Amino acid sequence: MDYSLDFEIGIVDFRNIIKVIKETYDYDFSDYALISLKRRFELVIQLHNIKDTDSLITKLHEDKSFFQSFLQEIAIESTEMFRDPSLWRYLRDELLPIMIKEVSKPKIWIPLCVSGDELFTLVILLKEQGWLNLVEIVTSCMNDLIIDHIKSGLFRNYKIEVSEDNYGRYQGKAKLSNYYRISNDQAIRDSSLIKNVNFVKQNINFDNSPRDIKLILCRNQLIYFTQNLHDKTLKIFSDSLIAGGYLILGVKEQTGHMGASYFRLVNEAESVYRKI
Amino acid sequence: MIGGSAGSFQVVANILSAIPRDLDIPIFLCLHRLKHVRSGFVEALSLKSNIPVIEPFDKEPIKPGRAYLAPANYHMFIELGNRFALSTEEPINHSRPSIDLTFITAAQAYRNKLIGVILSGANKDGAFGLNKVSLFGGLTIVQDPLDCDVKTMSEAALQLTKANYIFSAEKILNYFKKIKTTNS
Repeated sequence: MDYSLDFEIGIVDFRNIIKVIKETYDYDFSDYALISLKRRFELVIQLHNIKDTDSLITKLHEDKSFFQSFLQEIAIESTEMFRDPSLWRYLRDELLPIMIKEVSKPKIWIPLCVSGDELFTLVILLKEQGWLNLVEIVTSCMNDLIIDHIKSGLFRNYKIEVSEDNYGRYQGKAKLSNYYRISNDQAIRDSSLIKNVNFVKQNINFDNSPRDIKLILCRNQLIYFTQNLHDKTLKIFSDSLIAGGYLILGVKEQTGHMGASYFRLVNEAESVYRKI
Repeated sequence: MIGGSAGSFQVVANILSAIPRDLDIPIFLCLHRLKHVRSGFVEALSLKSNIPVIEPFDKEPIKPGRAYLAPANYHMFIELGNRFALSTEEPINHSRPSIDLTFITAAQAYRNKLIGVILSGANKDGAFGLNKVSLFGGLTIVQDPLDCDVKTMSEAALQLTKANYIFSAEKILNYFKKIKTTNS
């Protein structure tokens, strides 16, 4: 699976791909972090055995369903379930109890959802605590392919071992394997856990973002944006949060200078911010 | 820029305590590490280091005179504009952080103004990356396989690249002690 190392596209080709996507579909990827996005394009080319950038551009332009697959493939999934177990312990033991007390049916938003790992982690946490019907969850995905993928419960096999290890460190009440089954060598998560989750298709501009949100869980997705888009998105997040709402970023993310005018850090270790 | 895995910790710690305090270039460290250890590793390396050892945040600017350690469970890229870019894409050679990815992006950013060092380790991560450093005209140093705790990483590197220097840990140390920054 290491094809990404050998094959590279040039910067001009890279920009051309972005240009064609913008012109054909009005999706603007020019404010995505360069190295990561270029690597994703290189991955897709190899995945589909596409001859070269020109062929990719033609295919993107002409084949609308390929473009939808492309959107799914360039999105970067979370690495595992219960990533950073201490964060999930903090949610369970400190933040969620407070939130549930402060607000009736607090709304939790997971934007830029790709694999469903963070979503399923959250619902498992809630289920074990008996809180599933005390919160409302909304999650945004780029397209229907991604939504269908998450709803199917498909859980990447290579993530199982690390997720189970994380779940152990989280000190869950049961076993992670209680929440998925193996069918035809494929792990499938229990999709009844997400039956009340509201799935929203959301484009790159976050038009029509959810409102009245108490907690945004958006870990290790803004790292794929440039500083500029990152800052714009933080403003959107701030607008969607109610007063005193929370934002949780990845462990090695920061709000940055602009973001600091909307958010203050309340837990440094777990990268938890509160709307100012 | 230094990549290493099993058996490299002490060598890196020694390099950091030997390096001149007024070093005016950054050092990038990509070491395979336990995923769940967040602060312990950087603290252990900082202990006797002559320069600050930092795990960068995503988009943090790169400053001279510091050693930057790739954070656990992220890849660390050197992005154009002299900043770090972190990534959670899949492991490369079962590793995240991947030495290859740090080395490749650094080679593309710094070209011939780069020194790439591969130390002891148990897999091939870094071999391809060191080759990129060499292709872009940077200086390449590999720890002598006979001197390594685990020689897999060094041997893999040497299979792909004719390194400028094959040094024992001690020779690597001496090299860094004398490093002047009107550099190669």
